[in-house]
Amino acid sequence: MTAPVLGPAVSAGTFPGAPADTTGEASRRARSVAVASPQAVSAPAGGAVAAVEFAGERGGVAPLAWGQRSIWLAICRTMPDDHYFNFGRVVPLPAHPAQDVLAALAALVARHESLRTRLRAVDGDVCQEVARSGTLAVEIVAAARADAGRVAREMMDRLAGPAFDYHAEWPLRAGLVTCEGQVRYAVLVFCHLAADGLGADVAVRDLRALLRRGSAGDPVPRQPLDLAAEQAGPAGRRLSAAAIAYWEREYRRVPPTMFQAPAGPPREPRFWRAAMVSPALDTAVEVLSGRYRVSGTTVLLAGAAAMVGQAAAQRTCVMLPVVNNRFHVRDRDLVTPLAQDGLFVLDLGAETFEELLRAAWAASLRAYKHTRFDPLELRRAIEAIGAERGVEVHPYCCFNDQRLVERPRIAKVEHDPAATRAAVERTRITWPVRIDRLNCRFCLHVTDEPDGLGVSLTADTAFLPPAAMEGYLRGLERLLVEAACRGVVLADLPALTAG
Amino acid sequence: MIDPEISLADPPGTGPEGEELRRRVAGLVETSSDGEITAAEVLAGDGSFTALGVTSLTMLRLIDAIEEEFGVEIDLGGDPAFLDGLDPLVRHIIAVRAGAR
Repeated sequence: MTAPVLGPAVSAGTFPGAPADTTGEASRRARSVAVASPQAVSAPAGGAVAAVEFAGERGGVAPLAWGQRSIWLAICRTMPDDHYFNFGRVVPLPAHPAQDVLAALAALVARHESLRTRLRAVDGDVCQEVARSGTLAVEIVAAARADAGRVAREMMDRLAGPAFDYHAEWPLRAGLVTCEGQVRYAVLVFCHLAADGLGADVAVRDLRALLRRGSAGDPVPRQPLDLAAEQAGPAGRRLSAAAIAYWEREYRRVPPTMFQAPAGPPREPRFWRAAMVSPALDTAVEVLSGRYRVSGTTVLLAGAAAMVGQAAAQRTCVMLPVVNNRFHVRDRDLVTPLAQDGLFVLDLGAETFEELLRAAWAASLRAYKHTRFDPLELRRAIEAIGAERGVEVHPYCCFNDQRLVERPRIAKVEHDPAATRAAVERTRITWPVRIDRLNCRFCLHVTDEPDGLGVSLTADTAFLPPAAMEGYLRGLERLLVEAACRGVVLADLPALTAG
Repeated sequence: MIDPEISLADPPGTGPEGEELRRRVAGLVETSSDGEITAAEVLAGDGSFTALGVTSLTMLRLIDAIEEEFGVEIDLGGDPAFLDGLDPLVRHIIAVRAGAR
């Protein structure tokens, strides 16, 4: 299965221990002191700020749609480190006058209601509020041609730095980089409440179309306001109930959590990310995907689950893959977070990796079929099961394939096992992120990188110290490389992945 | 939505009922794959979804389409071997519908 979600995504589904303040009001008040204006991300010296007025077809207020609710629960759990959820795109453009790009931005925000949606506090909860019109501040920075790309990337990092003020600030921060008076880059930073990675890519596509031909096509027929109404209707409630019934059945029988006991005192900050880039893993996943006619995502899920079983001494692996929920044509052009958690449960009793892969394929289908639900309803159901079992049930173990959609590939005729094994020498591991708070213990992210497949593990160092995190990633690589080269009997896994 | 024209007079997956269902499910595969796999391809070969390159995405959309078209629930619990190909899937749909009556 291909269920990639681009952009940063921590498990965004069920959070039994979510704080009482689900309005984010306390955080908003605190932030308002530090951030005086809605677009108060400071511009660099020498930059200008343009005020872009936009006006759409309608405004309105509605409950959060399910994907928005999932993200909001995750944000509430992560405050004050919720800037973690911001993400952006650097968009190279053919030379255009700034006025043209600003007009295209105005049209983009008019077209997609999510880009002019903020939260409104209502009766101790939050709603989505679409503004019909408004003004977006867009910073414009001039750069030498040779520096423009770097300046744009730095602008994106800077704009993505502070958490959004969800109640007061537009959920899109935008900037332009010009060379000799012409725009060469647009920078878009999204609040995760406005888009997931695939939704952001839709926005980028539409911005380009608006610039190229003055139109991004017919108006978007369904927006998040409509989605919320559908989800509250009979069909939406049936869909949610079926998904929640599946989660309930599984949560009654699975291990309450994956990593049960701390291995030692946490580091400071507590959560670290180990990021591996591996050309060997890239080849191995492609070979296995082609050989067994499953997606690379399924190969990685199976391998990741086997390694979690080993690292956490579990015979059943429970993971929450983030699923994009864009299965149907009608959902593909929506700029809104549609992604929700799946529940992937895999019995690790298979004898060989090939058998495990077959079981993982079936388990992933079960997971993906039940990813459309009301997150608040699911949270209540899970809390009730926790009360029944006398223990909190949450795997705290998530998986997010952030690559673009892929198809199964035919096995390479010329797979050279020796070359694949030798490529392991070129694997690199870095430690790019250290933060204090995260709503998970184990988050595996898969990305495409220029030098190979990227697999990063963001983990709670109390449960997985840095050496164990690195051991996990190298073990995953070895498992899949050897499965591609000669096949793996799973009883050999400890010896195979040791040291 | 149940189609009253389809009876259980023949063994599951055979006879006019099976042929009609095979054609309809093959059509749903074509729709679910955005036309990348045609109904003719599904009907021409041995119907193995793996050999045809049916992705998980297509499979999920196919399951949704079958549930909508035939008014049945496709339960993926246990080993979903019935998703291996056209004929096992058709037999499964017939069995589920028979169970629902």
